[in-house]
Amino acid sequence: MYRIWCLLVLGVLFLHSSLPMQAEVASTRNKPSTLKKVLLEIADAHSDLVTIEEFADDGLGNSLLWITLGLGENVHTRPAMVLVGGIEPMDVTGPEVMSGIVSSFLVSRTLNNDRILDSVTVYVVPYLSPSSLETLFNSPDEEVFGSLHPHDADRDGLVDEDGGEDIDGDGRILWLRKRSSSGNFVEHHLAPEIMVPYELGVKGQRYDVYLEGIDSDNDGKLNEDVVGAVNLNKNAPHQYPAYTDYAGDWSMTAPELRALTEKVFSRPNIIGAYVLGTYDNIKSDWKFDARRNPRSANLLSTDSSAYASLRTELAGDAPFVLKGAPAGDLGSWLAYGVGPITMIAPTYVYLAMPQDSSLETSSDPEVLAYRWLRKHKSKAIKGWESTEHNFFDSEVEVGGVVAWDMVNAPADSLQAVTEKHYTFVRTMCDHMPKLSVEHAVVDLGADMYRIELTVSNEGTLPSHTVVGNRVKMHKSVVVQMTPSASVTLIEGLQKTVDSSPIEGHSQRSYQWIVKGKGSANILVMSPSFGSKSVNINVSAGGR
Amino acid sequence: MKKRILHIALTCLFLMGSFVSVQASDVKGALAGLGSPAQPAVDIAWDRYYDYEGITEILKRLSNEYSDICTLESIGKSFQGKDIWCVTITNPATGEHTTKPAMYIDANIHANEVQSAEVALYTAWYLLEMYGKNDVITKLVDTRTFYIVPTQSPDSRDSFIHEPNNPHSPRTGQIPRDDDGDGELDEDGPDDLNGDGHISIMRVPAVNGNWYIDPFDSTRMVYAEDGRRGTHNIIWTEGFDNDGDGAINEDGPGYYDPNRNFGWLWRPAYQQYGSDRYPLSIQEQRATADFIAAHPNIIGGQSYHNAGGMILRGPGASIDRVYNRDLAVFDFLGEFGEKVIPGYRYLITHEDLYSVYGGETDWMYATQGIVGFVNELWTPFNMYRVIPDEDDWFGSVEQSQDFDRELLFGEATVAWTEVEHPQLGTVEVGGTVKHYQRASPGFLLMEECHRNMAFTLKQAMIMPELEVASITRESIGDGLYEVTAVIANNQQTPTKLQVDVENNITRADVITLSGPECIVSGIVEMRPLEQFSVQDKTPEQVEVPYIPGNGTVTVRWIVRGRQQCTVTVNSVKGGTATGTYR
Repeated sequence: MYRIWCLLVLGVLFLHSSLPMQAEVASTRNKPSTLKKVLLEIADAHSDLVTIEEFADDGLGNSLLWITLGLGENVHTRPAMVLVGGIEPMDVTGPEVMSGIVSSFLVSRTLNNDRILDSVTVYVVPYLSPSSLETLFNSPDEEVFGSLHPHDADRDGLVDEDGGEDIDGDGRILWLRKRSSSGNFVEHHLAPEIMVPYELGVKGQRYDVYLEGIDSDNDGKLNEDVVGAVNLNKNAPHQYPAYTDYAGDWSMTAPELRALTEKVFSRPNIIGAYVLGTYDNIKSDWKFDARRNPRSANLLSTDSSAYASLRTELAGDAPFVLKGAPAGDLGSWLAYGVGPITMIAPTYVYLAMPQDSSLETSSDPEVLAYRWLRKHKSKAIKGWESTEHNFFDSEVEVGGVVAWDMVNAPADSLQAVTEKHYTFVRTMCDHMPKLSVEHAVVDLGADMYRIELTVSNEGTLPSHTVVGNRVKMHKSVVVQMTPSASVTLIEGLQKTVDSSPIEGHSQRSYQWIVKGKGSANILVMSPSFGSKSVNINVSAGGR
Repeated sequence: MKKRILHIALTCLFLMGSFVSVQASDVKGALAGLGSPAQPAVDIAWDRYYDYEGITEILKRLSNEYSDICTLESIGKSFQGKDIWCVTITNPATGEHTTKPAMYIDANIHANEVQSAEVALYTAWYLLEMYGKNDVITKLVDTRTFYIVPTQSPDSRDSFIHEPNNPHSPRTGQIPRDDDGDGELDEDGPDDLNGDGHISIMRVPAVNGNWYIDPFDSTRMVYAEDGRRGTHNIIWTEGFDNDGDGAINEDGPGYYDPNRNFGWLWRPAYQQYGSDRYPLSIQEQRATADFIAAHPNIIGGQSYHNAGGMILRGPGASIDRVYNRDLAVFDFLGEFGEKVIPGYRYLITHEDLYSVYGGETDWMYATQGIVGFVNELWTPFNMYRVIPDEDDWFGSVEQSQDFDRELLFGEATVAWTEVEHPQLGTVEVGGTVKHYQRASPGFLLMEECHRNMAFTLKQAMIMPELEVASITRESIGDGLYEVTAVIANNQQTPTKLQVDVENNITRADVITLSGPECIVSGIVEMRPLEQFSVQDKTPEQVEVPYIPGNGTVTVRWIVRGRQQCTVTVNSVKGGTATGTYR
């Protein structure tokens, strides 16, 4: 009964959050700290299925949670997925989605008798950037650019001394723009309050764009050192965007990323990952950049085929293609630097827009989101208005879209967003590697026998990945032969360490020649593949 | 009673005296050789390699003896809990260490590259012992700061000295890693089969083997080329198959490469062998990087390695770059190094050696704006003063064995002996001791230390040296004046490298006028006539991107009043200077 009550608590939270919401009433959404309390209660009520550990401190007084979903004593030695949300500093929806997925697994088990957690382990990190997310709840009309570890972005010896200010007194910190023939931005042609990078040949007025505010430190630069901010989706090593805003002084300076990476390394059973990112690799043509990494192109072909197989399974549920280039983001770091087969999906905008048939449709989900906001949450958009600003010697305008509203799902579509993500995750669970073994004993005469073992992977994902194995996160497939005292191993290894992955829907054979009658035990094991032990009667027939 | 007390006192003095070893400086009547401290307060033998305890003792003795100009601190702990020591050497009476251009020197990131720590230690010792006795050294300690970390890998250093190893091990630190992916950590390292403290190689007799014994020197194995029939196969380094997987020594202590773990162009292990989990995942290297980043006054960097006699500059990878303006400093020093360290070659890592991703000195340059060099100590040139082939890092087998026989009298050789091997049966074990091939022999070590130190001190000498060269004041009417200051950098290194300026690594140099009220200020440039670029903000302070090496910048303030003008230059990496116009 208590279990159901806890799930209801989470349901009530989501119901509560489905009230009509404006950014200024962010209290209707759930902070990471609120979600943590509820998740701990759920873990208490489902202690056989759910454990929660605070695996790291973010250095700012917030703990990072590692939730383990799974039944049985072998949860850490069988195929597993890790889900990571709440990475982007504005992504309030991500932790809620992750918490909703935890709930969905439990509800599905209770109501639909879904037994997936008996054989697959799911690790969930609901949020990686709690400091910025918590802060955002206090100032929902501001934009946060990264985690809040003090950072001297402009290298002037002062820290976080020049962030944004609400100069027009409307309660929001939006954007300033100034006409400039060499400006780097133009208006989005369908959404004029959204400024997009200028591309060669595009017609229209060009602008310089600044965060709304003043030159607080009087250094001639506007808002060049905001609070924080190292963006966790720009600080990881894969194609790290050195020397760019919010990327940190060098890669992996963010303690949150280091803690997560160490944690994933400590769980070599993780073969799949699902990450809420800023683009998707489910439908988009996202592949390893062989040109930049020529030494690794062939090496990764095995992993590439696993990606292709999984995409085939998932793409039908992916409504949009969100193109993007990896540049220091967590998802591509996990894929190319750690090892799990990693699927990246945007938390909200491109995934599950709220429906409104009265709105003109568009193939660009950002435009759809904008149109929806314009109709349903007009306060989230401010048209460009001239303003006085002593920093500039010519007219400037203030305006734009409140980042919270653009980034986060409207409360009444949160459930749909969560369901969409759960569908992806649940589908990935069905495609975990599945280990099975068969054996045969062939009588060679002279009291000698050949033992043949066939190891099959009946799942879609490989036993482990090439990347994971090379970086020492994934273990090889170890086949351990232990003959009884009366049986002598003549040919073949006592321990075979097979670093080459056994791909999905494929098999691999091993054999030994032994002498004498008796028994032999063969143990096949790899954390990301699971383990099987067979006892073999060494004699003709072998059963 | 008095007699008894006297007797006890004399006995104590005698006993105390018996613990004091006779030191070179105790011997009277000697004329000290030039370039060496005449009577060092801390007498150290420079013909051996010190373990962690020895290094700690030397550093403590130096910092106690010279506490006025030397401080010792631990900048972090190793995996096994040892301190990573750093000595800071500067004269605090001439300014805090953080306010002077600083030279950072470290060593022994690869623990098997053992003599590198002695070069760093020697540098600290020499600076301290010669301070006040040699004008050049005294000026250096007065005007620069030296941060010296003799070993970045104290755990593995002790492993190299006290445990069986070969010349190439341990390059790694001691954090256990599962190298073969079998789920076990460090379960199959080398085994010292003959118990001599060295991991040499195993050979077995073989019909048509790949090697044969040199008929003129039975210690020498020669590779069977040109259809010649060999007599032996060389199996591998000394060891068993400890875990029954058919491989020998495939999962020893470590393995990762600490000098591939830094946060610049770091690549995963499938692209850069040994890079470990992520940039600065290894605590010793994180401690080092954190220390460097916390001392932005560092502009010179030196990391000592072995072997091959190389003075290496970046970039480590072809996709990286060194900015053109910075090359002048690198090239000047590299060429100087070739002169003062005969047999050493000034090389570019990725072009002349191999690609290195995640290397320490590349990280220093690209993220901290530091001129970083790697010196690969010990060159085969030192054996017979003969220039080796370009790719000959350790010397040919023939040359090495001649050198051992003729100058080391065979100490480097492990004679072939038979041992029983559980998997291979009878094998022969032999080869060389671990501190040969890469480590400088004792009688050459002090020279190696001194010459490399001289190279490093040259870099310290040419670090920025700022001066307010002139201040002038001219009336422009209405009680207003133009105050113009020329700021000179009297050394070759600019206050900020180009990589620093282009990527905003450290803040701009700031030139401040105090005294009169400042109305407006800016930089004066000659293009070719005088051009005044006004800076709008904080008129008393003028920011300049950098002050060029052996160059000047001119700044100007328009002020109200004739008060005394004091001009102060404050550069993160270039130090400070002050001038006054009365």
